[in-house]
Amino acid sequence: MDFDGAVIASAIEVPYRRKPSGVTTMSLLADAFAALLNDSGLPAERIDGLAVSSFTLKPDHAIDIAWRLGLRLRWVMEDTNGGASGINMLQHALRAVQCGDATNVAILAADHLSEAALLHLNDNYNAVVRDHLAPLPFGGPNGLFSFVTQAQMRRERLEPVDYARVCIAQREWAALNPNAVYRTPLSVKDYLNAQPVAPPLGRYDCVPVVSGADGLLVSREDGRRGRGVRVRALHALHNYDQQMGDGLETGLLLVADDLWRQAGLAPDDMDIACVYDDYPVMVLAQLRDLGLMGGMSMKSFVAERLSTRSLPVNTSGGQLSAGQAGAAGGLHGLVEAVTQLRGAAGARQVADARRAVVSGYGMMEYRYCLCANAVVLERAP
Amino acid sequence: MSVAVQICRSCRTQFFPPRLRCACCQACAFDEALVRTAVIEDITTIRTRRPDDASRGYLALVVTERNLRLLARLDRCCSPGAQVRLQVAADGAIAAFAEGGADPCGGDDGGSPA
Ligand SMILES: [Zn+2]
Repeated sequence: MDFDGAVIASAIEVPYRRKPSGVTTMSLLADAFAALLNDSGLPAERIDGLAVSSFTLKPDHAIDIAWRLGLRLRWVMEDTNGGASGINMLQHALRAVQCGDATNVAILAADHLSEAALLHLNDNYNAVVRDHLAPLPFGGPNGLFSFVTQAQMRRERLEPVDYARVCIAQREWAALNPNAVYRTPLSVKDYLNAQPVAPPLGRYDCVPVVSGADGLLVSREDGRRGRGVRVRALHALHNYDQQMGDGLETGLLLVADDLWRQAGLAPDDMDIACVYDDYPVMVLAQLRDLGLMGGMSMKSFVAERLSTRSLPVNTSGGQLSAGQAGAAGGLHGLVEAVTQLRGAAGARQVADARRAVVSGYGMMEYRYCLCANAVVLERAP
Repeated sequence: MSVAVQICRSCRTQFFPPRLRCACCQACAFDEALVRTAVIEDITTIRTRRPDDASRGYLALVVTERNLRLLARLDRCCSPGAQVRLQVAADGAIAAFAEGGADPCGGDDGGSPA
């Protein structure tokens, strides 16, 4: 089933900041909602659907946010799937609008994580983490993705310099994004000499924690709104290997053919790719699983397509340079892709960007993450 | 205390952490097996900014003889391929102890976790 009748009418980001004062998750959600109204020109009374994702809402839920925002809703959801939450909320919102359950759905994600809240989240992410990983020298997901990275290095014959190129290319994009928290140029030497975190992972392989929010508006296509973005295809596959593999693939590998078939497009038709970049290893895994590497080796792809930025990947700088605002990271790539397709990306605008693929990845279990989803977007004619 | 893992009573696949149903055959009945040894597949050194942080130390991905991968706290740095003894420590963590002749590690993962 296609996604006709629903359109992404608006996309905003509340600028990410490191350790801001006077900010709460609630205030960020309110700022995101206000920015969506401002960007779309819709009055709040016309918002009849709300989806929210945040790690720090407790004890509140999406409906409590609706009450605080003064919204009367016909449709509400809350998503807990971290790096896959943005596309998951989009998937549900599109169908709700298509089916007439709601007309204008605000999708919001925000987090303000204190250092203590982050440590608590890392050790209590779920029962497996709490019971089996937190007692270990664990360091949050860093330890797990050290092992995934080591396995990818062996299988793909990659070296630290290849991962450096991923981080440097994203930093080059970040230099063009005034809202990225890290914008200064990064060299291979900087990368290789960085403070170790969980070798081979060093400082630049790990996302800087920030406070911020992202938002999308999914609306009934009315033929009047000009800068909308259409969804050509969306697919998800969660827990695809039951955590019995090595984490080098994601569920995207098994749904990529369906994704491109539904879109009626091919990987080469994409002007931009925004993949969930919790670690460089997963940037490469998702790009490969989506078919964007074609017949190239991972190493050649990094050198010839990613490092040169001839394929624009994570043009905001990604979370590795723009920052990770908790669950808002699950919306970050979507917001960036929609911003590019609307021609509103400023200095980092990809010329004549018409189509983008965005993927989500998240929810660590014992060894790697469970969730994966992807969407193909197209600028409305 | 030895490390206990699940074995599916139907297809004999091993699991850790425990499941509610077998991920291979959907059976619901499991036996328990004790795993005492494994081989190190990869190792990393967890470093954090806080010098007193209990989460610092050596973390190993180990593989059992039935090809089950477990994460374990390693008592000292040693190279992939080394044999380790496994125990559940008082804090609930799986602890791995390098066998006597294991090579000390070098290279990127070497050095003190401090
Ligand atoms: Zn079974």
